Amino acid sequence: MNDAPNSTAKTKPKIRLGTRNSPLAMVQAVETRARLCAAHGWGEDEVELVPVVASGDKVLDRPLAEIGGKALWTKELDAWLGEGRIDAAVHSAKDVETIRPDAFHFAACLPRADRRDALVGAASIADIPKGAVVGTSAPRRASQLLNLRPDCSVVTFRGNVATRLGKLEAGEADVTFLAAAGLERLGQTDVGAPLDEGAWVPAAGQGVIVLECRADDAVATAALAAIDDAPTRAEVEAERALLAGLGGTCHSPVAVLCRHSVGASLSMRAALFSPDGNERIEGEASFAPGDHAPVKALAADLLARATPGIAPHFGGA
Amino acid sequence: MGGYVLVVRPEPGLSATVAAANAVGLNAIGYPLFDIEPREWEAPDPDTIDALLIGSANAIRHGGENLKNFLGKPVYAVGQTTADIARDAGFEIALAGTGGLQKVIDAVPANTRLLRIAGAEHETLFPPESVEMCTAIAYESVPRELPEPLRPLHDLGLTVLLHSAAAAKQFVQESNRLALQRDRIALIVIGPRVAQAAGNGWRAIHVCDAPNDRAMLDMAQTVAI
Repeated sequence: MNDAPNSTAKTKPKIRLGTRNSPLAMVQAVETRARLCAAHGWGEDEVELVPVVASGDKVLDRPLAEIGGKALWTKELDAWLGEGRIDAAVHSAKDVETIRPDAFHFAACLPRADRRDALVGAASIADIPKGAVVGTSAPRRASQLLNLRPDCSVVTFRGNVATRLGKLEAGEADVTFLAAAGLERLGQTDVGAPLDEGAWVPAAGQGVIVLECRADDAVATAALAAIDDAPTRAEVEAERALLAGLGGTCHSPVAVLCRHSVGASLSMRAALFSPDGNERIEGEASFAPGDHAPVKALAADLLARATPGIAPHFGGA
Repeated sequence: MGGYVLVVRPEPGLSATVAAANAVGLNAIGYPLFDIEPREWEAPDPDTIDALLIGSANAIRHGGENLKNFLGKPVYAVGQTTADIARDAGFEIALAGTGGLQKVIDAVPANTRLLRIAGAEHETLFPPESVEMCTAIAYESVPRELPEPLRPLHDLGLTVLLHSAAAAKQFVQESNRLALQRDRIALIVIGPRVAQAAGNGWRAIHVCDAPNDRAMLDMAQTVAI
């Protein structure tokens, strides 16, 4: 039984936030709580943190794509949210499936943190030793790496930040990747070298914490809306619209970078890869926040140009 | 099981311990309290040395080029892990101890001239009368601060693995700096000397029955809150 102070709080919580119980997830939940307290003038004991052990944290020896995909990060939280045991779920946006249950909606996106990947074990992609073994289970990272460095090989590498660093130290791989935002949130900014996002394209939603609640829960929706960051939301929604347009799954090697450009517009750059990294196609689009027609058009264009090694991994919309 | 297990030992042990903890189902995180950094040291004439006394694998890892002068000399090691690392580095192992470095030096044959390779902070040893010992300082522990994100994690209950008295002292200092609540923190210590260095007021202090990582993790599985 968890004996966290919040579970014995005398004050009835205004909102119950479900979160995975990994250290990083908990730190993200705490950041969410702090923002809610600041926005509404609540005390910490008015936001209850409810830790949930996610399936994705239990099975660590196989790639996520093999054992159920991103749903393994959300399954338990979805169940608790649906049952009303929690009022909102705290997620890393990049871990949330593209298609979500209609009963839920993203009520808030927190301001985007560092969206870059950090390379651990070498100072840059070019500095990775020839023939190195790269530990990752993310199709995007594996294919992008093999595209840039076909001399390397990839081994499955899962687990939280600490576990992956441990595997690296144990010599299971020469280098690995971690999200810079996660390292920053855990206070481990001395770990790894952030990779320039222009040369190494991140994942959709990377660096963003999203808060999901029941769509018919007006109280939670309103409470969470107070901490929504509109510019981040615009980026995340566009990136997820691209994924939806591509019909990608957790097996799909896709990288996307969307950011605010001059004026009120967004610019997007997306890259699709074949799993072996031999094939890569890219495209770009500019559009106004919320206008996803150009994003859908970019997805359609990428699908039309998809090469034989890429096409089977994207279903289209 | 709720709560987090905090590992604070320096690398390379840190990552290995965290990975082992997570592998047995603990929710572990690693924040090193020290970095181990090499120090320049002057090697004595190898002809004046019969054997090496090694109290930590760090002596081999950070001993640098000077170590090569002594390759082939027998090593008296504090424990099996240190002995294995010394062997891998090309040394011959005369003894791998089990009960501390003083017991190892007590077992060194008479008329041996020992070179002890140690860290800047090291325990005082009392060699037998017939054993000569000189000491070289080959590395030092540089303290690090614990990061702010530890504070919210400790709210949910923290079990800290402390592998040395120096780590205990540094953890006390850092937990004071971060205003961590001792009643939210249980300590698992590798031996009684470490417990003494940690002081009082903690939720619990558990002393391992064997001075190794395995015993600490076994204890963590039993007591982690």
